[in-house]
Amino acid sequence: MTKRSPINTRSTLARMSGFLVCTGVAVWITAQTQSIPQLSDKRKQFALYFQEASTEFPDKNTIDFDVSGSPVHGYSKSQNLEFAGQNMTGRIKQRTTGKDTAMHLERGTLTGNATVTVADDKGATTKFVGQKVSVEDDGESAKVTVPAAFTVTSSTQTESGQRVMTVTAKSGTFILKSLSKKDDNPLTSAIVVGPVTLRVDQKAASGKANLYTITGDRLTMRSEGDNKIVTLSGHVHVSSDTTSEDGGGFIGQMDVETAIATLDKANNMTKLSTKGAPGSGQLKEKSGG
Amino acid sequence: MTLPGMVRKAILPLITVAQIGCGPGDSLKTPVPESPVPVNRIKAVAPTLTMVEGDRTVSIHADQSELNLHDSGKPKLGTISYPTGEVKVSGKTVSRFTATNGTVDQDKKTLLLTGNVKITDETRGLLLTAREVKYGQLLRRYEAKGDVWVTKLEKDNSGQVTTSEAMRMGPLPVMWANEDLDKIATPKKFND
Repeated sequence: MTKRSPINTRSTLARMSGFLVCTGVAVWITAQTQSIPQLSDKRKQFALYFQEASTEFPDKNTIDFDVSGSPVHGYSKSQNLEFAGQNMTGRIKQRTTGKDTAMHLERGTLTGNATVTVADDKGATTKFVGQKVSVEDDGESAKVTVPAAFTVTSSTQTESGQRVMTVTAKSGTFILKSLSKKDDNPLTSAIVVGPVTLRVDQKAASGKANLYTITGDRLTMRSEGDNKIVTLSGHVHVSSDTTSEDGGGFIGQMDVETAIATLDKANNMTKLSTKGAPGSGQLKEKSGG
Repeated sequence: MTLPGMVRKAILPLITVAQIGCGPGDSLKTPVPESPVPVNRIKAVAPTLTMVEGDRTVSIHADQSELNLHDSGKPKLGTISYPTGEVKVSGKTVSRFTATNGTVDQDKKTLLLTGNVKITDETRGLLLTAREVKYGQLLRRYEAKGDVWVTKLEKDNSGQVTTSEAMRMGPLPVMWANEDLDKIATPKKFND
């Protein structure tokens, strides 16, 4: 009979101990996640985490809710939607497709450090941040309403790095295609009341550069194919002092009554029209170009 | 055999239904020397107990029950094993319940269910589970405590509730619910 080597015994014990520790940690983490109060559907395609809740069931497919937490947060995978805030009220609809029943957020209003993030088909995100943000999605179209001071940030990836468009204003309404319909350009129109600041920055390995900034009293936006037509009106100021390697940005500034900018999918400004008096500006060619 | 034992043995087989709150009824004049108030005790097998308050009726079926009676014969407190039952409003069943144990308090018009408690509303396909649930007939609500979960069950094509979950909410330490489960909330938000 061979005698078991003490070294083999020790390494076996060490492996078993490590396995037990890892298993214990995994069980503990799972237990913590499952112990957080939540409202979710069967396949966890929808989840709403909270501390206090009130739910009503007006019919078999509807859940009206009023939740609060520190914070409340949740997601709807089928709608590419994430949300968070101190409080949330809304309505969830259960929709059955074949044998699957999934929950969808039909409407929700978040207050207190509210954020709503919508992702498009390509993974680009649009994030609304304010003290109150409301979202509605009836399956045909969606609407995000921010009645008080807010920021909306739209991030896309370009060859040079991440491009971020930020709009800051006093209130706004954004119309999107239904969040359940996967699309790489979900935003269809917007009305934003200012003072409005629109800026586009390029984040690259070399640092962050502001491609252009436009301010004005009011902003409207509509989609035209893959482009966005952005109109700013009232005391408009357009400025930029840099260009990026893959296009976008210019060197110059203008003060006009109205500026109409055409932005492509990557938020490059491909065209800029201005009108109004007094209207002044200077544009410089990119050096060496 | 003592006198109390003989009396109990004679009366027990005749008791299959005990009505609570219907007047003094027949009472067992069996003294329990150590109690300051004469307390009578009835043990029953497979009883049905009923609590009535206005248009609300709670019917409780149990494997066994033990009811403590005042010497007036009016039941005060009863413990029941494996209770099942329903809450009716104006004659219509609005919810059903099952548990491992239960305690009925006629004075307070409450039913305390403990151990694997399940409250169901078949109309909405809702199931509330908890370690302990207290039903207050005067408050017209359930108060659930201990690992409370609310599940919405799916219905099949014929409209029958299945065991497949469409929604789960929990776990929560405490939840309150209306008698028909149309509103379920944490105590802070229940009256909002």
